Amino acid sequence: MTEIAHFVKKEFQLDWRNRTLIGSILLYVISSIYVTHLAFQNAIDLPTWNSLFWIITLFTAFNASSKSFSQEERKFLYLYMLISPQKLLISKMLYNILLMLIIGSLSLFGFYLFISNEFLSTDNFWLYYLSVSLGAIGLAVILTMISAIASKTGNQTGMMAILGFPVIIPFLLATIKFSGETLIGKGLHLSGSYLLMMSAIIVMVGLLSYLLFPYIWRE
Amino acid sequence: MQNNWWKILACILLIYTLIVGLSTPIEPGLKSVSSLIISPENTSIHVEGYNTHFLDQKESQSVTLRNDSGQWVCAEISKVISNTELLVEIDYTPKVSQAMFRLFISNSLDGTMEYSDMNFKGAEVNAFIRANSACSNFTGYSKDTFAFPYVRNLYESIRNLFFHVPMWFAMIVIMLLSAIYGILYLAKGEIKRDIQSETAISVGLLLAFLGLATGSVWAKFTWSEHTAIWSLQGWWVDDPKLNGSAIATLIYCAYYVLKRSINDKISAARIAAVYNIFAFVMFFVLIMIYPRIQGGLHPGMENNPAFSSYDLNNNLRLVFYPAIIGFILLSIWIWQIRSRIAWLKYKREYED
Repeated sequence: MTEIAHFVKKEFQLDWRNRTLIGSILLYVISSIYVTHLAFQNAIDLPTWNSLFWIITLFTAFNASSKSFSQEERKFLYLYMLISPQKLLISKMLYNILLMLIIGSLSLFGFYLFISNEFLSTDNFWLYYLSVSLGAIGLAVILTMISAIASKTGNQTGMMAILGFPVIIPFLLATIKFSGETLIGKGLHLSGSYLLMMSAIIVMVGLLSYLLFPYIWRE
Repeated sequence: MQNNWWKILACILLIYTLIVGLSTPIEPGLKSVSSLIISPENTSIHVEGYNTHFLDQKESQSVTLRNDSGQWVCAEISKVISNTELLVEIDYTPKVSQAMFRLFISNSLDGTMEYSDMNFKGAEVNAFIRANSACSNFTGYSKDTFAFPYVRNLYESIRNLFFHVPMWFAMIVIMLLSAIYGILYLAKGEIKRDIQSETAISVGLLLAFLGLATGSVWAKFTWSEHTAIWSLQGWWVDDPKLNGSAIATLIYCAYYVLKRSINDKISAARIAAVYNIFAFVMFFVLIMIYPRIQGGLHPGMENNPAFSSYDLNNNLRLVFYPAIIGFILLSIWIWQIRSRIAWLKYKREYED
């Protein structure tokens, strides 16, 4: 347990010292939201707002998590002796989840500020925020595994897109549906089945990654 | 011979599917009427039939209308133009308890055929009328020969059920086998299991493309009847099963790209096996969840992709179930042959 905490802390420290990763992600979110703001000129309706939010979050998630394992290749042997693959995966996943939660909140704030503030109100905010958090967690969990697979090929970013997009679609659809329902003010008793679906996918993918990751890591 | 009984079974089932599925006639039915609205000025309706024998069975033929409240309206055949066309003269009644009627035409060869949604316009609806007994001139016949049901706008293409749907069933089975062989490879590390897993995906992709092709043709001629045959419109429609299968095809095409992009044969096999298992789970989630999120055009799809809700009748089932088993066995057979070839090629390349 302490090993995992140390690894998550290490990731944060590395990224904080370097600042290129965090900086590039921040810039990515802000500039894509701003481009959307300029392109749409406030002529936007609720489903479009919601879909755009998730598309931008999806692309940011791809950007953020594609670097998960690429830096580890060089210190592979060292890590191999230091920590078991399962623990390494969990720490990477936790770090990505934290990163995605920050990105999700940030891009929600950006959307509220720049694109439109008429869809979020005090009534539906917390439920929508729940869907954003859950979506961010799911994206992080799925993309950590995909990035681990892609890091073993020569073409990291290209493979991320080829492998990741088709695989992420079922989860993304459930997420868009759930957040859209919460946005139009449907309570949990009406949209709860999507919540259940998303949680089930997250748990399943998490377990599957836990079981399969050692086979990728082993060289 | 003892080990090959299932190959013989596959052949028998597929030949049975081809012969019975393609040669059984479609039940006669009513294709269209000149007007759905019956008013005092418009009581003469031109009816078009499908596979009917209006002219040959002129003597035994009779016609009537009935609504869901059990009320009958009498009608007579004023003119028979051809075997598939006739004119019906309806006795207009001013008082009905429900305006929607069904038109029945019956003769001794075709049985009783119906056309729904005939609307009595201008009649006093909800007027209290005692249900009439059947019109005296109407005799209902039932048809007892073996035939497939007549479904308006499907017509003869209902036979595609025996080819299009089993393709997808076979694909799911083959992809499951591929995932199982992926697990076996990870567990034992025998390269033969990896080759079997990969060839299973190639067979599954073949089935996926065949399923997409048969589905595309079917969609064009049933859901998109109004589009011109030479136009590109209508070959692809927006439906969750269609989108789901397209995404599944993408997922498995990515498997090949992944495998080819790693140079080391052993680590390529291992990583591809991991992705294969991962992809199968997501593929399964996709086909289970996506249709529930979005209703579509496929039958039985309000929000449930269950098989029991297909509107199948017993005659269709008699061919449909053997066809499923036949196509699954055939694809396993193809898979076996292809993996044997791939294994021999591998041995020649690496073990000499």
